[in-house]
Amino acid sequence: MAALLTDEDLSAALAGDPSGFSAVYRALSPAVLGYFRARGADDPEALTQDVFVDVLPKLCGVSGGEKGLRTFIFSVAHARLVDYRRREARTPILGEYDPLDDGRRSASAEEHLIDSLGGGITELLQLLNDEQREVLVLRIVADLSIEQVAGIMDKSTGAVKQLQRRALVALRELVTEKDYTAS
Amino acid sequence: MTGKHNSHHFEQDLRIEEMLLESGLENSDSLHESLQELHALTTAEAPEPGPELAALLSPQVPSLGSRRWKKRHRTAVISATVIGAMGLGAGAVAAANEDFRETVGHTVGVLFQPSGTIPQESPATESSAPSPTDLPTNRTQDNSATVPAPAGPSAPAGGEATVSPPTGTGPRHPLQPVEPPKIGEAPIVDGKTLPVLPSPAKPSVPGLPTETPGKTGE
Repeated sequence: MAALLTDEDLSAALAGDPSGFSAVYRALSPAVLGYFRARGADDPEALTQDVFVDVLPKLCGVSGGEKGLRTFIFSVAHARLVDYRRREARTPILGEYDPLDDGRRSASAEEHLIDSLGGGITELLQLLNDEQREVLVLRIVADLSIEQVAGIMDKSTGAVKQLQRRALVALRELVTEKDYTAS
Repeated sequence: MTGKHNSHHFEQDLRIEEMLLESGLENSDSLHESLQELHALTTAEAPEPGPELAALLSPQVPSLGSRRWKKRHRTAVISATVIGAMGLGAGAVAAANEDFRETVGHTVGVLFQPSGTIPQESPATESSAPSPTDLPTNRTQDNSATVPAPAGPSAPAGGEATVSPPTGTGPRHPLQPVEPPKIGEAPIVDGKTLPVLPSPAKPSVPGLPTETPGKTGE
């Protein structure tokens, strides 16, 4: 479990005192690392480092206590992930053609992916659309409320609730299907 | 620590239950387990910070911002200092030496004067430069105008001075030989002086105007 953030460390960090930075990093970097892992980034550790290098010098302008700090850090993490996805989309991925990896001949793409990757939660999440995946990860891994997620994703709380519901329904179907194929 | 750990898991379970309730999926145990698995992606320990982040986290690192600023703006600071020192020196010299001020004022005036006015200025300077020669002529004119009777003996001196070319401003006009009528003002006072004045003016006056008409004619 990640270290807890005391009030003294939090106030020192929000005042721009470097002595509080270490406590903030110890308390929140595991969640940021988990966020990038859940979103399937290639190098989640490097992205986590980038987020904190960007965030720590700007903490003196953050308001709202620990909740505001968490929202701010995951806003930066979200922006970093969007940049990473855009950069990744511009870079072509070159690889040899393997007929066993060709999903076009399989009856079900979901079954194929679940079977080939073991059916973990990160692989199941890849079958959701991007916004549904983002809502689930921010709510569970980043431990944010509906309102905080809505602020980060620049959406209304109603839209976030709807995305969350659809994501959970889709995930339940995938989990049920996985259990059925496993048995 | 274990108490905190258990309480954290309990809070997380509550959050997952709340999410499932909001979506009407509270009876799905497999989904609950999957969401717990998702939450387990958060690591127990913070990742090892890299060198750049470690420098930020260590509280006793001196800030290099001021040194970097000085290094970047070193040339600008030196040039500003040199320009300021030169300005102070020039000001001190100007305050100490009056000639310096005059020459500087003159050169600045020449530099910033429009080009069309410069040729007009040269005759003015000519009229001011030969002031020692002009002064007696002006005096003679004044004398001739005010005191006609004693102007008799002084008239030839006035004729020699060739006052008419500068007063007539005639070098431009070919009709300048007609200007002697100005000198003819003297005859208005006394008729005897009339023939005396034109005769000395002729040798000097025609010389100047004939050059300029020739140039303008070309």
